[in-house]
Amino acid sequence: MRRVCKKVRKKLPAFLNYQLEVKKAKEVEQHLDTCSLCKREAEELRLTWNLLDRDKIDEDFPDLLNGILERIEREGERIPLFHLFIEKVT
Amino acid sequence: MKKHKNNYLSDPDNELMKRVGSGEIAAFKQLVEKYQRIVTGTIYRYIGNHHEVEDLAQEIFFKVYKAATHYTPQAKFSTWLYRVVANHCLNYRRRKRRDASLNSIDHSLSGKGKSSLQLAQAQDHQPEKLLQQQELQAALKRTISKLPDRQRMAIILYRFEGLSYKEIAKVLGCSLSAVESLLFRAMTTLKEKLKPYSE
Repeated sequence: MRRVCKKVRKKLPAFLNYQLEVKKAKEVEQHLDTCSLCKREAEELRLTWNLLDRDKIDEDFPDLLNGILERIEREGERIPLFHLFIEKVT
Repeated sequence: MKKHKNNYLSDPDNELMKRVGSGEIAAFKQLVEKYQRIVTGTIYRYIGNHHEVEDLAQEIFFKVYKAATHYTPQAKFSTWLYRVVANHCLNYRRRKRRDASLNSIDHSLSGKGKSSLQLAQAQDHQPEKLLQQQELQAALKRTISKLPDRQRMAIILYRFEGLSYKEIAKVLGCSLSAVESLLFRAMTTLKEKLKPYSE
């Protein structure tokens, strides 16, 4: 792989997510216009990037806050007991 | 990379942390409620096991609470929090590896656990498209879980949490070019492993 290709490919994750400065993004664009291998690499990375959208999280932890407050109380940190009472009734 | 202003001095969440430090539980509750989704989401993507997420999230918020009394803002609160989360997750994995008890995590991520049971049930009742979606999600989780620790954390922060390279560098305590390398290697591996699903 040519040195310039290697350099451009390292920039692709930022390029695909519009994180590159305008000047650097233009340099990448210009290279992709002239290098079919890097262009294909960018297209494949784009597909992978979009594929990651499908990794959905459907997890819920409704008792987290109470668990933390109980832990703080258990481990002797300063929370007045009436605060814990308020947390539980609200 | 895009340049971001260092506006952490006026970050309202840093103000909340100060209030937590002076003993205001209401302020702590606000912080937990605001950040619990990103904390549990990041841990879940990194660890991949529902049962461990809540315990780890509790430990992290407990650390936040304990740190509040001597907290001095040097970045946005969220950047600092992501750093706590990343360090906690990376240390947790190291500890687990040392204890040689990673098998249970790998099992839950390998698609042979709950998700494959769900998959098997789905085969009886659900249309093919939904099955493909579940298979894809299992493959994504499996592939992400097999990335090296720091690459995995970098891609989670970048792709799913929307952090910039600069923020990731602060969170992981490394240079911008190290972030660039981590993300490049992570994306290249994901591209190779997920090829069958992107065609």
